[in-house]
Amino acid sequence: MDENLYNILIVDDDIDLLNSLKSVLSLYQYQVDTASSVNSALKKITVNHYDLVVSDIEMPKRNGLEFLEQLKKGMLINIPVILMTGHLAVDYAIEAIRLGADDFIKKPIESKVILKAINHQLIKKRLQQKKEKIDNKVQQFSVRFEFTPEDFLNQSIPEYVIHYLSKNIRIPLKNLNELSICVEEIITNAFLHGILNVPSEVRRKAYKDYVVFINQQMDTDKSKKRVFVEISYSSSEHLLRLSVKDEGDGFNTHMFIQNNKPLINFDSATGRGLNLIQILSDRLSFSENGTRITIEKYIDEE
Amino acid sequence: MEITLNFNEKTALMKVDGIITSDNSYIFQEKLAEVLKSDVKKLDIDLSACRNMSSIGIGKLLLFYKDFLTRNGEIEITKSSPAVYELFTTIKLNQLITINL
Repeated sequence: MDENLYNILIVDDDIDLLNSLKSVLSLYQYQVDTASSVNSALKKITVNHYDLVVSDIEMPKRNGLEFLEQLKKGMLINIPVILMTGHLAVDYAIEAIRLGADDFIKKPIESKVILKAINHQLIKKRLQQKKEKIDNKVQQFSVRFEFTPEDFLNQSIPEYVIHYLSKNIRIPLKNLNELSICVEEIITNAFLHGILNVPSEVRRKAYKDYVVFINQQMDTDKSKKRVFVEISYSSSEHLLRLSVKDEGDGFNTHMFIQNNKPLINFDSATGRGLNLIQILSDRLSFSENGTRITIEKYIDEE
Repeated sequence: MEITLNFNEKTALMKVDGIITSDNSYIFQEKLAEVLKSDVKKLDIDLSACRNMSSIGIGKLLLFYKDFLTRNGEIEITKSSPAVYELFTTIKLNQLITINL
């Protein structure tokens, strides 16, 4: 296989081991990056693209299992993770498998063992990508969710929606970041402005005053209103469409800027969210008296 | 999302880790309020580990900017992630605040 196309991140608090693994893997034309802590690895992963991660389990502060959990519950669920450990305790292994580890290798690391494990995971990933490419040719993805204000207050719905998207559609991190802000702005507006009618002056108040206002609104019939989130994706066009309908007052559409160069509204307390959506999506439209907002976004090919 | 805030003589140093959303923007607001209550004249914000910021987060920053400016305060984003840098330059926030990548 064409190994020099792959970027690998190795995470271990043992700097000597990092250097040694980097030297070995570089000989096989892998692009290798290293991190000596979980925090450093998470930062690197947010800005760089990696095809595979090799991580130690036992590290000070945050260990490899916490790192694995962060990766697999976040946007990077598809990156294979190989764990390294000095002792393959059963408890660790069970927990790691539950969290989604793809392979284990035992320390001290033998070159041929780690090379074999990496090669195996990358072949598996390449085959999976080929399969997805074939599937995507005919894929028409469509889903509909329904949420109540109680759902909104008890869980992060935008995060849930983005996680669902990242699990079902191959979306590059840049597009996913842009989408996450659009989803956040649209869903937050649907609940806070559309249904719960939180005025901007309340949003600017201290958190405890804001919570008091929200609780008052939840004691009214507004708590029974719903928000519908519809998502469709056409793989042939690489086009994702997100449509959100609320049973309340919808968006303040007079803030909708018609010109092609939207600027953030620095002086007004309202309209910034809409500006962001317009900037970060490819098309924005309203219907049903502003209670339905639809955005379209083209997804880059990886 | 985690925010650390330290004070160093006349400068406050803030570091944001994660995404500032509507859910957690009150933490950002509370940390900015701490800076406003102090007597520092400069706030350095490290957004290198901040993957993005919602309009509510931007709103909190702008409100703070206006209040801080009235007492001759200065804000600088000393580091930012590519996503935040792109967002802030696209919305022309760099015309108000110095933003470094």
